[in-house]
Amino acid sequence: MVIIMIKDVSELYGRQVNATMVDDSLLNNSIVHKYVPIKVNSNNIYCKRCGQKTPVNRCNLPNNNYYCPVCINLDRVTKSIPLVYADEPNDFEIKQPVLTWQGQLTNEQKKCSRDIIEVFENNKTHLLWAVTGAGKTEMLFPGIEKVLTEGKRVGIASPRVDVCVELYPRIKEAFANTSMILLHGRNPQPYHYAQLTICTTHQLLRFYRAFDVLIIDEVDSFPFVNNDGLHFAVENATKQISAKLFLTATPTNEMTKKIRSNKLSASYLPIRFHRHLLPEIKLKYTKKWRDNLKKQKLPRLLLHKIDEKIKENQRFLLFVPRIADLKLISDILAKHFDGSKWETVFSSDDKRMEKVSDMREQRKLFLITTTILERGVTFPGIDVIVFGAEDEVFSTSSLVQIAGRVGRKLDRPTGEVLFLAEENTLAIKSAINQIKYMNKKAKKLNG
Amino acid sequence: MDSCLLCNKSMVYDMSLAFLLSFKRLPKRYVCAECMNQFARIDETRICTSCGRQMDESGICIDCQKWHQLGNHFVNESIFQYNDAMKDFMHRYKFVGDYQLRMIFQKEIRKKIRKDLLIVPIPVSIETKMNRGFNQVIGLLGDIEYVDALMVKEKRKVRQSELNRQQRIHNKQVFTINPKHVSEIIDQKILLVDDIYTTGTTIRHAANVLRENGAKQVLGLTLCR
Repeated sequence: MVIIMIKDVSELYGRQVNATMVDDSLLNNSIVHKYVPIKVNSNNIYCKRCGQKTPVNRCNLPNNNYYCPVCINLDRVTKSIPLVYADEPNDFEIKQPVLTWQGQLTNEQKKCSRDIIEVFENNKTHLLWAVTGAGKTEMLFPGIEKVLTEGKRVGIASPRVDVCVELYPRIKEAFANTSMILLHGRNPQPYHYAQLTICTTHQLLRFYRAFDVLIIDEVDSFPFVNNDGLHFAVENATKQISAKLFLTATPTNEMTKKIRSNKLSASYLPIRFHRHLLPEIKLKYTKKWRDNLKKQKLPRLLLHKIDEKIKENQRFLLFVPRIADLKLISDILAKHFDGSKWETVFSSDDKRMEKVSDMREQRKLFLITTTILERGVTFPGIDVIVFGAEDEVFSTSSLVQIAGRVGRKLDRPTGEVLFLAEENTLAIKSAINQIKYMNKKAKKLNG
Repeated sequence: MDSCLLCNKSMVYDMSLAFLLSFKRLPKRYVCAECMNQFARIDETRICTSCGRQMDESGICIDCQKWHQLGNHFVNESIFQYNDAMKDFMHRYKFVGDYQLRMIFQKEIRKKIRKDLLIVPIPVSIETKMNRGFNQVIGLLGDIEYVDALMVKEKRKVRQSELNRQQRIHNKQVFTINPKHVSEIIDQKILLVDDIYTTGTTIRHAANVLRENGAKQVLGLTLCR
């Protein structure tokens, strides 16, 4: 393991790292600030990097030292080693043209885009609720262009690595003259100071009062949702006066409550860029499917559907609740159909990226997957089936996202969204209602 | 509700009526069943009787035959195989430095401790101790009593894990006796404890130092092989 010592002060602008990673010449520089990241209370410790408390017996080291186990994935912070950072100076060179994107926004997108500019200019916190396939990324461009031109530092973060990886080339193309970096746990590329940062929400823990504008995509998704440490990181990574924009296609109940009580301002975009409505969910019941699965049996309804899609050469995703279900289901399908037509995919699958590109390049007709492919990925012209939709892993936002994989392109703006479930759950009901609600709003826009 | 130290998911306990009526205390667990199943326990009926590695049938493995030719007869016992799950555990425990993970295997180590043996942990260098903040072997021992009889002799230029097998076998003695505890090992039967047995060089070097300083017998115990 080779540790590269930080020698260039720009790498500390708005960024906090362990003092052991920083060259001595920098540590003695007066613009470099130091602080002890762990505060020891009587029976717990408080980590100033992630804002979380841990009981003493979970975090003690020998010799009266302590570390934070909560944010340990981004290098361990301990009481004995200070964190160091330098104030963000916004030392950027602005090259014209800032925006190198040539596309056009629809009228609805333009309206949201004006809201976004207003949020950035007035350092507000705002939620943009736009349906899946609304063209959220493009709507950001005018706002980002404006703040980059003013020399502001911008961060775009998502809880999902896949989303960051997909986003980076699109942003890179749209702002070709801006210095940019992509940061996530699997990226070996070394850090450098850049005006635009695209990163996972975890990486925000490494920043300290860096961003003038921070955009968080997919705020409703794991691991950001319900993670206090990551919410703390958002506050810590942004300047005291800064704009924060949250993006979602499926707000959580907590967010909708805040909107209703005027604690959070919001804009809505209920219509897709191609002006077609969201495909609505069809729900069918499959009783005792789990018992039958143990007996190596799949519901006739599912087999029939898959047979139909194979015959029509219709590409699709089959979502299942658990990693353990993947092989079971795949093995049973192999008895009925040509096994070369599909692959199974899950989060820690070593071959995940390859399998996804097999699907994208049409070498496979379908993927059997866990919720890992629920968002951030676009396969043109697909249908989706959710088998076991009643399982608790499928939250409302998961289900709406999954349905949102369908009909994203203008050449096939419709498609089938089929849920097979043991019973109708609250999550299924609210997913169906959310989509109907947005479609009702969209119909009004279409007149 | 406790959550698994490895995957962070909350753990479900056996709350069957039979269990409740047994009035047994709820066993303290640190890792969920799913994560625990990823570790491969060594089947003691099929091992190398010298280094303790898993074999198809019991005997002496090729590596140990080589050691025997060099006149080095050492007996080691290991609890788990060094598979992907164990590799990941070691990475998080030692190199990332998540010290609380020490608790996961303390019970396993405790079961292997014999009262008639003096426990000596393999030491880490002062530099490692500084960076890591702990000795991973002492962490695994929990509250088991031990004697810090060994010290790392010199500042190693490279970590042992960065050397290949040949380099490691021919690596010269890295340990020395701790003068504070030298008297405690004389004529004693000793159990040397380490986290991992890879080529066997480390633990054999340590055993030699103890024997040279008067230990009667030295056996080895490592968490994994």
